[in-house]
Amino acid sequence: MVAMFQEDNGTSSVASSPLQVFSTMSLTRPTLLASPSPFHCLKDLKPEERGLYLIHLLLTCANHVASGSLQNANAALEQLTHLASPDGDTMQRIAAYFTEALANRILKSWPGLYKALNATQTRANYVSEEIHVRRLFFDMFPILKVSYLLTNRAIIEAMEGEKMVHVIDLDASEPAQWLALIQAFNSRPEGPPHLRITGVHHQKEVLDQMAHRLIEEAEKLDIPFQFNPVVSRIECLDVEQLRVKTGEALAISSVLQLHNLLASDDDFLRKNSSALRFQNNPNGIDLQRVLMTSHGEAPENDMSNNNGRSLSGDSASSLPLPNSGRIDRFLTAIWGLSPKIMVVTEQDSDHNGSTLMERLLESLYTYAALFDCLETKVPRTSQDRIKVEKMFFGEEIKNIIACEGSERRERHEKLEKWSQRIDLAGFGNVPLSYYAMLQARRLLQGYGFDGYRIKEESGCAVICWQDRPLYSVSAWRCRK
Amino acid sequence: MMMNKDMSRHHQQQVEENMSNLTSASGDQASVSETSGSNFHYNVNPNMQQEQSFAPQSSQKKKRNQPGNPDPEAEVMALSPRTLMATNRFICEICNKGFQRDQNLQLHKRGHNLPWKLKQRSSKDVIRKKVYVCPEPGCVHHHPSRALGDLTGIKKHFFRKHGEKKWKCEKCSKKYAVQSDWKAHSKTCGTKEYKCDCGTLFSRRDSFITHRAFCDALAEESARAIPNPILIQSSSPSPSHHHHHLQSQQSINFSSSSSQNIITNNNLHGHEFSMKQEEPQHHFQNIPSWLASSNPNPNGSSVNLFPLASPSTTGRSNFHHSSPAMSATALLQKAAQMGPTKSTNAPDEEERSSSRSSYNNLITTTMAAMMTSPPEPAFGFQDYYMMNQHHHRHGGGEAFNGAFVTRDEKNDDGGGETRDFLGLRSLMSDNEILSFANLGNCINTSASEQQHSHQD
Repeated sequence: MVAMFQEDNGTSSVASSPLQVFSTMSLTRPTLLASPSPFHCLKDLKPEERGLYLIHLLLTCANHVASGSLQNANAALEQLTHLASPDGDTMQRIAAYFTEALANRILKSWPGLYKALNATQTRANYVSEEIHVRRLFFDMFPILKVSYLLTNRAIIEAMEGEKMVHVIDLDASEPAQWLALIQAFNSRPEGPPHLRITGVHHQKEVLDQMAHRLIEEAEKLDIPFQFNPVVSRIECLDVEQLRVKTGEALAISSVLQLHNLLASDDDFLRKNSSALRFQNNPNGIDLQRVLMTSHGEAPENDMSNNNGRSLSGDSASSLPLPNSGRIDRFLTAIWGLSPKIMVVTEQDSDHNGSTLMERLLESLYTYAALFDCLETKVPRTSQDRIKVEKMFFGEEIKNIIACEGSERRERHEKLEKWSQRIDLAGFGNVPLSYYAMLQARRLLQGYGFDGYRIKEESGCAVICWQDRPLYSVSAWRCRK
Repeated sequence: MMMNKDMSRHHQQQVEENMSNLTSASGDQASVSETSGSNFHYNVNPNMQQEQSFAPQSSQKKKRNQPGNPDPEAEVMALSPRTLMATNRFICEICNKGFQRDQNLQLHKRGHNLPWKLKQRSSKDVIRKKVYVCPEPGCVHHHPSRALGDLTGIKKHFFRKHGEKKWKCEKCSKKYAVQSDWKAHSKTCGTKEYKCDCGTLFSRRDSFITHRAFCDALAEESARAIPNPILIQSSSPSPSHHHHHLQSQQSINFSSSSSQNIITNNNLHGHEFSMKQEEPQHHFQNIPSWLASSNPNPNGSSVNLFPLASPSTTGRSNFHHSSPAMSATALLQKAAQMGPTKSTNAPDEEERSSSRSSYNNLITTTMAAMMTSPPEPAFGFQDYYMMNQHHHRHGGGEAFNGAFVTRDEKNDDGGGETRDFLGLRSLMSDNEILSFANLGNCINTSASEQQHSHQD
């Protein structure tokens, strides 16, 4: 087999690449495992070769982790740490965070150990870091800016003629969005409406800051305004807490929040399969009820066998939607509030595959695009860049790779899947207007965010880096 | 005789004036004025206009309410869809002829030479103005506060919004629910067309102008020529000194220059767009808020909303990497391409083989060091994965509680060939390489099989 490796010139399709070569190689002696000497040669690799090797190592390592071969995984990690670096080039940085994530994944099999290593971060420190990093993400990427622009435009257009407007922000972390909305409402021809904003966030400090900024602005412009904070994570949110009143026109903004709701389902479905039978779905597309009526028996059996997958298989939808418990309940509850407009911004990548390898492969591409973008815009020495990479993207990567079940909140899915889910819950798509898209495109051009594109896909906007779709913004209305 | 003619002309004018108050589309007036021109024998009588109450000496036009704000005193009429769609609602009692509009019926009845008393409607009670609501429950106009003041208006609205589009333009196959809309369209369809450089066609001059000013194609060209927010001004006659001023400050004081830029823009575009409800203007007011910096900005008081990053991180300054590194995306694509199937391209192979040879030499030593050997070297890769297939269970969602890895370590695979963690020697199977080449589709059955076989 080693001989086969040496006659490698692309004549046979099997041995035409180094990656392929590795797979067919049968390896010789384990003696050099502990020896550091081979690693010296690694330093001499050219960046491109190093990058390719890193990719290969990551896949290898993930494969080992997935199959439980810890020794091999360990060896791969060792190599990876020699080559990867958060200060290096793009591929090195990505590899660094994926390596950490894979290591975390292994470590989680000893929960005590894992928690002990992560126990010395104080909450105050964490909160302020988080806030800072969120602000960095906002500044360094156009994504949030475009999202806020499109969201506000859609709200303004939907609220034409409305006198009482209530906006619910499911991730109230950036006052800039609503400051712009207040201004826009102020300049509309029929005058500003009575505006009420309800902000949902898990950190009280953030909500306080937001309240302060918004109230200050509204007072300056003399607009009747009210801010209602709701301190809660979206998973624990009860729509009653939102206090929607009759007679007011409701708008909902969800920026990178809904995917968190896909997370609780594994545990939830297994524990509470009977409770889910009595889900209230006025739209009539109640998957559990369909099962009950068609089978004439409790759907528990089906559910426990297939963990919820068969629910959607029996319904009228064309694509089966996995884990449809919690998110559908939430969307239905929101639908029950009859919002005039709901604008959803989500990642447009499939990071919710059920196997590690699937997720790793997909997320490699996504984060490669995001890190590439930083590489072209920000110098390598920038501490802010390192912070965003580590604390914003690094944390996402860690969550996608290392966590499972309800802990894995970063369950990004493609726009098509989201559209289907939201549509099933009783919403109709509101295409983003020509002016909104125009403004969004000009925002990108004006800022010199070259390389970004906004595509339009069935009335929704998809923000891409080069050709890779990254985030999507879509608007929906309540369809009765 | 002369008197009659004069009166008739005068009356006709008045009728037409009044008709214009009642009906919303011009197409309808034609039919009314035609009939009004034909013989009639009574004096100017405002009673025929039953739908509106106005003073008998109404040579002045009746004041119209603002659209969307109906008279609060008006009587709300909620007609059923059937009634709205009925074509001949008004029936002459004498000859049972049906008419679409009450006025037409009245005019017709005059031809029957009725005695005076029967001709008059009882104008004793105050005739309240009637407003109409749409019967469709989800509709905006369903609520009395958004009622429409006109029967024909509500009928047209109902057809347009909630009706079936039965009329189709032959030229452009655009469909209409209301016949008058269709007629009006087919008169102008294809008559005038404006074409933008980007290829979009417009029938209206105003929308063409708007579009052209902001057309992406133009914008891109300008963006390439002048990488600066000035591109917004490229199509407009802005003062050139702004241009220079902005360019000089380009790389440094991005924020303040752009906000100046936008202020100019607002003035420009304010008069350029007379068409819509000043929407363009406060569009631009959104953009300045994005551009203002969080640093003390002399220009923007109201525009300090979406602060730019501090200059150190905007990245618009030039920084140099040591070598032109390949982007991570490109690396991934290259890795995917270096899959098993590519044995064809000769020129590529040369490159690859040269880089590969040095690479491969390195690999032999390092990978040999890294991996451990299996007990049976003869075991083929495919066989290895095939072996695990009968352990495959479709587990649906993952059952990981954080302890899954420990479970994985236990060898529940009775075969004993390869599942031993010391024994795994294959890094990636052909299947995996293929799926790697298909990155994004994730048809990674072998890996998933591995994983599933360790669950529960």
